[in-house]
Amino acid sequence: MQRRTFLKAALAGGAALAACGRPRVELPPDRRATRSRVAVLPAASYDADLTDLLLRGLAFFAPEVRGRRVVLKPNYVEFDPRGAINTHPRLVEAAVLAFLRLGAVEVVVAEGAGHRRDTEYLLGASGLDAVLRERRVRFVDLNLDRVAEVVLPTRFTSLGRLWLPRTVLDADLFVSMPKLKMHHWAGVTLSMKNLFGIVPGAIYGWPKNVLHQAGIPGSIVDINAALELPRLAIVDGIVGMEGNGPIQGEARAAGVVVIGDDLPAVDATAARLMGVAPERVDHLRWAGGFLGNVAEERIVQLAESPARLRQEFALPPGFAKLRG
Amino acid sequence: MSDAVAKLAQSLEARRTPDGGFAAVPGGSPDSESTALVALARHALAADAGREAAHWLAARQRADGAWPFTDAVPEPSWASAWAALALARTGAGAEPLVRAAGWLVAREGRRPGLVARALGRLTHQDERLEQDLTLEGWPWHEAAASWVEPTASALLALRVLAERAPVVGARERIQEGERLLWDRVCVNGGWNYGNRRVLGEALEPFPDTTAFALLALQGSARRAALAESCAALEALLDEKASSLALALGALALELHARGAEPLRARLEEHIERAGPPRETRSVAFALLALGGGAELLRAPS
Repeated sequence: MQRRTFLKAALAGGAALAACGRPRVELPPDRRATRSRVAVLPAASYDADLTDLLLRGLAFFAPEVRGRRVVLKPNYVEFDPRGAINTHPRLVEAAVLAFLRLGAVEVVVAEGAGHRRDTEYLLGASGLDAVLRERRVRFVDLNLDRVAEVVLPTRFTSLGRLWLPRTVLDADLFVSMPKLKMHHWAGVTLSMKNLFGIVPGAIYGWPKNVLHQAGIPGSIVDINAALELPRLAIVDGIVGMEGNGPIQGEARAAGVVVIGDDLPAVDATAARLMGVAPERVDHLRWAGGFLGNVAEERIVQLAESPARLRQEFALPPGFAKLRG
Repeated sequence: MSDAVAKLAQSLEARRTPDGGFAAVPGGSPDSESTALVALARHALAADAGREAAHWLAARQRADGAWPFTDAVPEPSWASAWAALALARTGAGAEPLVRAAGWLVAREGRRPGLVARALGRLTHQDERLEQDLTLEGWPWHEAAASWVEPTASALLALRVLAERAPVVGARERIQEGERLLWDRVCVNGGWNYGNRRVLGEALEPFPDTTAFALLALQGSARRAALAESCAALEALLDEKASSLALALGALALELHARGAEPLRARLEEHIERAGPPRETRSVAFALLALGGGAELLRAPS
C-alpha cells in the first residue's frame, strides 16, 4: 500500500484500504455530450461588477430559470480569516442577483458545512450572513434539512444509498459554486467535490467521514451521478487556494470565474487553469468515462482561452503526478 | 426571568411540531437531538415543562436502546446520547435508561485493522498524525470513525446514566473515551472536530467542540491540562463568537468552576441585539446557560 493511501485512510478515521485504486465496476450508461462548453471569464477582483460578469457568462448556457427555484451551493466547509477557503460572499451575491434578473422566482443559498457545526458563526464571520440579509435571501442549512433516501446509480464505492436533502433534490436548477482549490486528499476540490457539502451532517456527522471511509474519489463520482437534475457550476477562481488545500493552503490570485453546465468539464477546465492534468485526478478521470467530458478535445472553451490564464498552482504534498 | 430568557423560551414555539417534538430549525421535521435539548432546557426553567418533549423521546426509543435521528431515518443515531441524558434528567424510569446505556456501551466507531496499524507503525505515519487510532470513542455514524463531539456527548450521557442505569462495560468505555479526547486535544489545549494535525500541520481548535470536550471531561484527574483547556476556551470566545459558542462556553466554564458570568452577560446582550438564534440547539443551550440549567449537565463525581 502506498504511503499516501495509508495516510488518507488513517486520517479519514482508520478504516484503511478503503480508497485504493479504481473500483472494479462496470461503467454506467454514457451521459456525456458529444461536446461540452465551458466559459472562462477574467475577473480582476471581487470589487468588479460580478453580476454583469455572471450574466455574460450565463448567456452562453441560457439556463431555464424563469419562474423556477434556483439553489446555489457555495463552499463554506469551514472559515479561517487568514485563508481563502470560501466562495467569496460577493460572488454569491452576484449569482443571486443574476438569477433573479433572469427571472428566477426564488434563489436559495444552501450549504452543509463539513467541519464546523456552528453555522451561525460560519455565516457571520465569513460575511455571507450580511449578504443574505441585505438581499433577503433564504439560507438552508443542508446539514439539518429534510432528507430523502437516494439509491446511488453507480458503484464507485460500496455506499449503495445516501440520505440527501430535499432542498437539493427538489431544486429546479442546482448551481455548484466552489472555490478554485487544491485538495490534499482528492488533488483538486471544485464543483464535483463541492457536493460533499450536500450530504447531511445530522445523519453522517462533521466531518462527513462516511464518505472518507468509502473512498473520497469514488464518493465524489457516486454523489454526482446520483443527482439527475439541471445543474450549473460557477467556480470562484478570482482568488483560489494552492498547496495544502482545502483549509491550510495559501491564497493565490487567479483572476478568473469558470462557468458551465457539465460539471466534469468545468472541473477539468479549472484544473487546467491551475496547471493540473485532469486525467490524473482520480475522480475526474472516472467521471470523464461516463458522466461528463474531461478530455480537452471534447470541451469547447468560451470567452477567454484557459491557456492564456493558466497558472501553476503549488500542488498539495504528495501530488506531484498531477502536473499537466 | 430575563428578557433574553423569555425571548428564547418563546422562540421554541416556532420549532415545536404537532406531534410534540421539536425541529432543528423552524419549519423542519422533529428530531431526537433538538427535542432532547429542548426537554432539558424547559426542565431547567420549570420542573414539568420538559415532560411533553420527554414523552416524544420515550415513544421513539428503539428496542436496542438507541434513537433514530428523525422518524424518516430509522437507523440508530449519535443523538441517542442527548435523548438518553434528557430522559435521565426528566425523571424516566430505569428500564429505558438501561437500554440506552447498553446501546451506548456497544456503539463503536471504525478503527484501522491489524494490517493498517502495522503499516502505520512501519511507515511512521502514526507519529506524523500524532493521534492514537486504536482508541475507541463514539462515531457520528456506524460507518465512520470516532470524533470529538459524539464522543463527548456519549461520555457525558454514560456518566450521568451510570448513577441510575449501571451496565457492564460502561466504566471501561468512559475511561477509553476520556483517553481519546485527551489524545485529540490541539496544541493549545482546545479541540476541533477531532484531528490535531493533518499532514504534519497543526489544526485550529473550535470553541463549541472545546466546550463539549470540557463538559465530558468533568472530574478528569488531569487538572493542569483541564486548566489549560479552560483557558484555551476563554481565548477562543472572541468578539465573533456565536450564541452557541457563548452558551456552551458558559456552561463548560461554570461546571469547571471558572467564572461564567461575563459570558452569560455577553450571551444575553447577543440575544437582545440579534434575537434568538436560528438553530434550536443553540436556543436550548442558551436557555440552559441563562436559565440555571448547568446542573443538568453536571457529571457525577
